Amino acid sequence: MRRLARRAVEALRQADVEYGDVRVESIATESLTFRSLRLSDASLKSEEGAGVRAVVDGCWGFASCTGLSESAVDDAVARAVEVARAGGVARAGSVRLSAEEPQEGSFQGPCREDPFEVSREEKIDLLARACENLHAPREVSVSYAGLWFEKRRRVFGNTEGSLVSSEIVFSQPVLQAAAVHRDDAQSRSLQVGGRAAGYEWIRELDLAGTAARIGEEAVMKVRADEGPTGTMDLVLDGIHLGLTMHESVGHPTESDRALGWEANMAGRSFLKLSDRGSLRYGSPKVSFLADNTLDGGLASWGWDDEGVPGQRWYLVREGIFREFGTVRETAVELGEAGSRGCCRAQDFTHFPINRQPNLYLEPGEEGVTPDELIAGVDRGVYIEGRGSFSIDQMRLNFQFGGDFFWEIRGGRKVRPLKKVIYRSTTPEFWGSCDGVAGPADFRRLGLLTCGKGEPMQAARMTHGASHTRFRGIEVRGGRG
Amino acid sequence: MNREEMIGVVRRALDAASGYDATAVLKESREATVRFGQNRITQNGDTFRRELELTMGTNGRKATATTHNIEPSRLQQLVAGIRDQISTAPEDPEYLPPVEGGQIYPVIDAWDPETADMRTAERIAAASKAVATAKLRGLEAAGISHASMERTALGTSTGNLAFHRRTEARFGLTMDTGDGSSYRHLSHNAWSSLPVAETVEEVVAEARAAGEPLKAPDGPRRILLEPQAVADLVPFLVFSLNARLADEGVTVFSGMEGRRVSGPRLSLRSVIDGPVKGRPFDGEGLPCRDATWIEDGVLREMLCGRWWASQTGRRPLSSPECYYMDGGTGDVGDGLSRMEEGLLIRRLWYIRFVDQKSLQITGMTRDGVFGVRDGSATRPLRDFRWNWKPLELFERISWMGEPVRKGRLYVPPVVLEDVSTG
Repeated sequence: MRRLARRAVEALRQADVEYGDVRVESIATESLTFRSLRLSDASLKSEEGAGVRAVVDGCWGFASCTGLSESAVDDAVARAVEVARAGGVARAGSVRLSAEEPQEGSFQGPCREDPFEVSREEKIDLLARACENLHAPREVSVSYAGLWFEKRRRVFGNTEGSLVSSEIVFSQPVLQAAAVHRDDAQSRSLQVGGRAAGYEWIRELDLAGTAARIGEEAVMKVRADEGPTGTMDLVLDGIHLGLTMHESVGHPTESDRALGWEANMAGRSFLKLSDRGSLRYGSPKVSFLADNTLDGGLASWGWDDEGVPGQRWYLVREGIFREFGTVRETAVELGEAGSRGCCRAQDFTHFPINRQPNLYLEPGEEGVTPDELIAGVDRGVYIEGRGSFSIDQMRLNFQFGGDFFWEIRGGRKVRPLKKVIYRSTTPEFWGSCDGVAGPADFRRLGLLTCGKGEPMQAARMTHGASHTRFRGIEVRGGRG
Repeated sequence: MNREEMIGVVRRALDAASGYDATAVLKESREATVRFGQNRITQNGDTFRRELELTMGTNGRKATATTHNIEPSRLQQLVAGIRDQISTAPEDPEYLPPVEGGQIYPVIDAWDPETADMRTAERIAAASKAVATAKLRGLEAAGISHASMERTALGTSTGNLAFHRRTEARFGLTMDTGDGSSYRHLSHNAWSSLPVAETVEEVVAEARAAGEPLKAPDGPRRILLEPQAVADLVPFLVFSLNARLADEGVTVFSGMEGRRVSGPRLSLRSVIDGPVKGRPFDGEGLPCRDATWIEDGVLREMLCGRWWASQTGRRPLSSPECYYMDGGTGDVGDGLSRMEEGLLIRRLWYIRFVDQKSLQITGMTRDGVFGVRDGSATRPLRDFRWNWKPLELFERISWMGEPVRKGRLYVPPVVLEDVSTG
């Protein structure tokens, strides 16, 4: 793969492009899914190819090929240059890239036990036991138990002299149960998402035991009363907040949105370039760290798809907005010295774009527990996990549900609830935060399917938080 | 590859899987997209992908593998890998052999040779037109001009062989004035059928009219949904049209076949060789067919896999990937002229289920909300969040215009009465 990358870079130089890069990738996946006590999907997939970018007369050209023959890669280089030249003829170009140091090296993801080496019998047996436990309550009507693994090898090279490689294993377990009672149906699921990790992580999760709890909680949820309506306090767990911060912090701090590059599809941002360093995003308790060096993070690739190293920085610090996530082009537009390394593509068939980094809410003081946060709530709702989610295209006006709910009365969780949603706007919501539990309570959410771009492409990143309390939020129970 | 070459690969895959139940699907796709934003071209790409998916089964066990590599030696490896998977798979109580041989597939002409040529200059010219117009008028343009082609060859060990090819052209445009915007998405099998120049001018005019919006009034309102907004809602109906999930009690259509689920003006159909070309066969080799999902508000049919069909006495029915909502005559302007007062909504955004069982969804308006008075859109309004149940919403239809194409859908503008805007 390195040899092919060098060959493509040399061909780009020969074509006299202003800039060129290549990603040579090999991707293997395994998927096993039980649907309601039967193995409904057992599939393997392998794919290889290359994606080539070229700048000619200030215009991008991008082409990809399937397969890693020399002729296929040569053809992709030629097409990328040809497409770029077509833009040049139309005088459509204005590409400028931040200056970056050429990189060399390799990155190995944190996999201790290769899931592709674990016997399929063992994986199927685990899922079968999990599925049986999901279905133990008679009210469970539909269930899913699955394992998904991916091994991705990637070599990136560019005409500036970078040549880096990575090999990362990604894993994701799935458990979900839908229970039916009277005229209602409610689901409960495992929501840790994915992680850059091997089978050792799957072993740690105790899927069979967790499945039993999920099945029982699905029944508890469908039998629960509907949630209250009014203005009240919320205590949210780290996995739930992972999605809230993804939508209301991760996306608005993408620089391409602020510049209007996503205005036709994913949308813009309420943040302006001039807001850096001054806009109050949340209360002083709120600090968001971007961290593409996070161990096991889904966006920790060593280098991004422009060969820029993974970095760690504050997006928001003590409530004040600090910096956008950038790629080489947007760094120039923002007047910054270099890219933050947020350029990633779904795979070699896609043009890499500005994506969210791994992003998490900094935990509170050591020793602060979720129970202490709940004890400070007279009337409110405790929410675990992800549910319904929607936010406007400026990333201001949002509505979230959850996966499981408890009513809080007099500082205690008193009964389970269903059908709870809350509404707020981004700075108002994060501004109402008055308590964050300590590092011991920190939980991660790994997202594998963040959609953005045209044509739509999926990206992956990890979020996290400890339990956090918010005051005076609009809650709507029942069906909204 | 051409048809014969692709069918040849499928035959070789089936030969390699000899002795097993087998289904092979070979797909090739090429997509070319020019993307623009901030009044400049930001991407220009031309991508190619090939995938061979082989499913094999025997003695009630099955497995699938996919590869990009169609060399004969790789096919043998692929088959060996699937055999290995099958040897470890538990028996599948829902196992079915491949679709019975002798299937007859509809012929659907969804191919435009000029679009298949993927000429970069046409897409650049369309993007440049939008950008130049925006610059000249002091607006900001973002969007895409896109062409794609896809070829699919399928074969089964029971003797079915099928081939289909289609092209797709799309032009999407958002014009933004800084405090107002408008949007249009055009799609057709042929690039030459997209009215790019006229659309650029229309979207500029609409965006200019959308500036300085006021808060939308509270309370129930008469609402005119433009076709794009209707198209944003319909996929949630389609998602719920799943016979098995309904029978399992988790969707709004549980126990509702043959019963009224919405108002009498809602009819949703698929016409596979209609104005939006569908696909002639599904991934198992089952022929697709026309279907009436909802007729005059009554639920008639739902998507149903082969095994569930065999258990419930239904006919198997796969998604034809085209959906048609009945309409009437007239365009958005005609709908407006019928309204003394109300709201005009151009596009809906970030729609998600709030409650799948009752088909309640939430979302925002985007790129144009207007107050309507005496048949005209008179004042721009701010975007607002809504929580709606589409089946209840479509009970409130008082007028429908002529359907137009929006992606894989063909939908009309509609006027709805007494709709909550909160």
